[in-house]
Amino acid sequence: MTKNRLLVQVLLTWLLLEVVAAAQVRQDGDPVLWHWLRALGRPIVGVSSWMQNASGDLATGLADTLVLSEEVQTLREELSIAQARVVLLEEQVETLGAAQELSSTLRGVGHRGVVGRCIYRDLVQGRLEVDAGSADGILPDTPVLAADGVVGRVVALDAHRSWVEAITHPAAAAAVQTDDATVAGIATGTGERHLRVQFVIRRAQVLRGTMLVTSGADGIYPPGLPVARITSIRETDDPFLDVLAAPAVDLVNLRVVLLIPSVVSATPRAAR
Amino acid sequence: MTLLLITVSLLVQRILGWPGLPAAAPLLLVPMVWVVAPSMLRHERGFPALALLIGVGLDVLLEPVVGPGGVAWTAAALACRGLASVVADRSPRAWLALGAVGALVVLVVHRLALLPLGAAPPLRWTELVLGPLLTGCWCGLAGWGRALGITERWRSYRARRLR
Repeated sequence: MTKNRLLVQVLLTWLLLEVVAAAQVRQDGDPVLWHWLRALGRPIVGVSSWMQNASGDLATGLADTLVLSEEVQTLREELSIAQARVVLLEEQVETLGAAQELSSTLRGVGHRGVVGRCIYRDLVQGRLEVDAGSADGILPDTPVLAADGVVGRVVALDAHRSWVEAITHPAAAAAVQTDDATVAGIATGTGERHLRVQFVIRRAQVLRGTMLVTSGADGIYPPGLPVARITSIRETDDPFLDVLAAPAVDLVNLRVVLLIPSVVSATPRAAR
Repeated sequence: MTLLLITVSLLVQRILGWPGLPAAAPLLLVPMVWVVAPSMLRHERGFPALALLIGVGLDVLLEPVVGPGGVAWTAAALACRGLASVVADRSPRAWLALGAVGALVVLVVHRLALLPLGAAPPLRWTELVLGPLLTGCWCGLAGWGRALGITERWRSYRARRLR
């Protein structure tokens, strides 16, 4: 018998004897062995109870997570809707501000106009779309103005939309003059960002930077509205000067316009 | 024969606890000689089952709980065997010392074995001193008797008379 084997046998014998003794000694009415077994089993019971609780918590947590994810999704949708509304409201506020500015600038005609928002524009084709139509009293050839000046005129419309021909459109034209009415001409679109002012006589006293306003001779635009500022003056062989002007209105950032239907209705087409 | 002698020693141990005898008498562990002798004589047979038998027997005869005695006496047998394997002396003094060590181990380990059960009585210095002393003296006496060769002398005396 090797020494190690003997020691193992002795230890096992001791263990057996202790167990036998524990089965005989009673404590609180139960054998000590029973207390030992309970003490040994308590961690197992504790772990199993913990695992049961943990699994329950995990299941509850997963269910809550699903509910929360649905709520988060709903809240995100509501947030995006709210953000869209905020954008729209900001646009409306901006529109109102611009309309107020427009009314104060065009004090003479503004009280008769209809405020519209530019909802689409294609400056290459020189066309804008405004959210005001025949239901608002708009008619074809209604002048469209901005706070800085003339934008163009309505060329087509339906009940709630109008298509505006910008003054830069090649077919657009407006009768203009200087502020002091000493020089007159016709501003026509070029299809680009500048206007050409035609029929300005050679001896006219004009300078670069002079503001041209509507004269009202075309029967479309009310007189006195800013149209363009002269940027270039050149003499040619023709009897008229070659004058180029930049539109007074920033068509690129245009958002709010004023349509003045009463001008059209008050002006007979025959008079034009 | 050995088992009979062990049984007798267990009974003597019980008699030592009878009322009327000195209070320290039970501290003399009579069966310790059956633990010391195999270690001193290098008897491998029955080791340590003999000590286990003595311990369990004492538990049955004297203790309310069976088990700790077996642990204590087995530990004493292991201690005596280990000590005897490193000590070359086989004189009565060695028997005395081994008996004292065995008794000390029995007293201490018995209490340690009772500790987990919550039934360990306090260990007093009188036990720790008197128990090993008396048991050592008893074992030393046994060793001295063996050194005298009484059994051999008795056999030769009987042989001479028979002639």
